[in-house]
Amino acid sequence: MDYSTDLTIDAKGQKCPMPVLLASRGIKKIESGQVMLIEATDGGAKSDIPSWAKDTGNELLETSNADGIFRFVIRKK
Amino acid sequence: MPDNDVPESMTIVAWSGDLDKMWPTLILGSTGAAYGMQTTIFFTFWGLFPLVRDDVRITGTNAMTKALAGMNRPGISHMKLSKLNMAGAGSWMMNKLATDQKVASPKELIDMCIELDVNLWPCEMTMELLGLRRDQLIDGVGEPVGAATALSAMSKSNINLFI
Repeated sequence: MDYSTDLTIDAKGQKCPMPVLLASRGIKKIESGQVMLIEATDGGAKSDIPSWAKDTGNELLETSNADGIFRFVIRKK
Repeated sequence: MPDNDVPESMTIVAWSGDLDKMWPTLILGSTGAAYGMQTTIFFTFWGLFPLVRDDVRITGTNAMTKALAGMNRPGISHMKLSKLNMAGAGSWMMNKLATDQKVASPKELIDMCIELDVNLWPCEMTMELLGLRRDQLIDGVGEPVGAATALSAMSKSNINLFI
């Protein structure tokens, strides 16, 4: 399913913990209910971003993996 | 907070100024803040030197504390490895590997800690002992505090680390 995103965070090429830090910075910039897309290539992000989203109460709408890029769609609580 | 048990606060005592100890300290500290935890890093003894601005070469208030800074260059960009330092070759290689692999440097991580409102508390007593002045520390560092303030934060923290 496609979501329209309000903000895209490009964390491609960056290693742990930067994808989570950039996600945290990004989520502060959007309003409740808005949607953020995070793109990352670090293998750690695969578990870190969903775990971060869950623990911060934000909703992980979708994850995908294509061409070595992990994409996470998150809706701010 | 959601239904699960998310720790609400973390305190790290940063005792070591070694590159390979301060680096994980800053990774955990910044990530804790990204997790929404109230995060505090209490810098004491050797851990204080990385808080000194990179452009400050010599700190100290007398011959001994000046010599200390001479033998142990202050600054987040001048830390040494705790092992295999090999007169700086080891830490140079570690930094080179990190840059090539796009791992965030200690400098980037401490900037991120400041942006994410991590409390960076210098230990008042060791600052005086080592001859470090407030104006020699980087911007974004909190007011120097004592052991009791650090312990007070630790007593309220779910995660306490001494690195």
